[in-house]
Amino acid sequence: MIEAVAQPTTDPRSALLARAQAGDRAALDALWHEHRRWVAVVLLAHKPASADLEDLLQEVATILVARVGDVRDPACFKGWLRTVAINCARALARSASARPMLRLEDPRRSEANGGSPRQACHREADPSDRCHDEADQVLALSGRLPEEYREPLLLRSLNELSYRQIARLLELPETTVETRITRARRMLRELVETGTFSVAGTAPR
Amino acid sequence: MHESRIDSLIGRAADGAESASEWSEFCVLAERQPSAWRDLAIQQREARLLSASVDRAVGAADVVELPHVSHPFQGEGVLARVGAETGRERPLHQMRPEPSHPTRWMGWVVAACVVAAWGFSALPRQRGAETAAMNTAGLVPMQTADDALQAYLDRGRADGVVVGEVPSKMLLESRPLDGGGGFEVVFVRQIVERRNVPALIEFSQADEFGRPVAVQLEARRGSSL
Repeated sequence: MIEAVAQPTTDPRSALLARAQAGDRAALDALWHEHRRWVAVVLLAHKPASADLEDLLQEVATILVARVGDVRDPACFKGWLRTVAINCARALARSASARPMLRLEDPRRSEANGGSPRQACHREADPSDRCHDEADQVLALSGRLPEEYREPLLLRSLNELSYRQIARLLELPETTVETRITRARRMLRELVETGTFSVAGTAPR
Repeated sequence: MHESRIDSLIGRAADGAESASEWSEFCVLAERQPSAWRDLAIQQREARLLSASVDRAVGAADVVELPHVSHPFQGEGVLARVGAETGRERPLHQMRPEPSHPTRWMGWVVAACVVAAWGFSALPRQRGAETAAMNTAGLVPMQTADDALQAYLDRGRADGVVVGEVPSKMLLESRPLDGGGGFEVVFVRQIVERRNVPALIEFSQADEFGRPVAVQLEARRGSSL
């Protein structure tokens, strides 16, 4: 009987992935904990504005559990996970555009809450402590940047990834990432100041 | 768009990624272009605001754990079968995860309560738990949950409340049965109902910050979604 002998892995991250693929639940959890924050940022950069980030994260988590065995090269794991996240966000965007969200509202509940359903919903989505939050407004404005600028900017804003790490994740040269972040910051500033921005040509490669 | 050297240096400084030599270079350039200091201050502030907001938004990630699947299948080739009557197969990666928090279901609870309040009169009256299991007074004896569900579907169709059942089911979890012979599956059955409601709210628009805006639809003859 011939058995395949796994190559010994010295890189701790490769070893973690290998253990997770072998069914080690603790390793899989550790893998998720290590990556879930930047995955959340990728989702934030690609999801529809109204989509729930936590729901999308759950979707990615489920796919990770089910498909982690698909990853053959440990060096490709981050890229694979990013692709999963982007696909989840885009799939949701497609379904959201195809089918408007509906909510059944009992007007008696709304009246009890002191206003029309429309007013009540505005209050839910726009509590005073948040609608005046400048930081959230800047994040919301970043949603108007082109995707190729928004993603590196938000990844950098997480303050956990260097330019080099972002470049590896996005599979771009480090200088390109830096240029895109610089441009994104300039566009964001224009958006904050004037409500619009200018971009010439295509994103740097 | 052209990036000047000073723009690049401002970007790095705003990011806190500048080297000592880059900072010196910036200071020299800024002596000739004093507005660079203002630009740097603005970019630093916006970077700080954006980081704070991203950090808060990404905080959602800290509470999302991996779903517990008893026997995670791997690869494209393994499919879990749900619903022999439909013959449909669904890869495990299309499963919905378990909710991480009870509040995930709150929307459904609210919706269910609202529907229940409006449609209560259309539903069969409660007869007491003891009679439900051995009800032989009606036309259909309800010995099992399937019997009860079928009775609901039949009555709902007769009343016009039930439109039908979605043939495909949403698989939540599956595991091979001990000793082989099949799988235990946990799944969602979706029943399409028709109700008359006094108001309908649509979330198909967003305000300038991307937040959903609720719009109450006007009831006009001939209009529908």
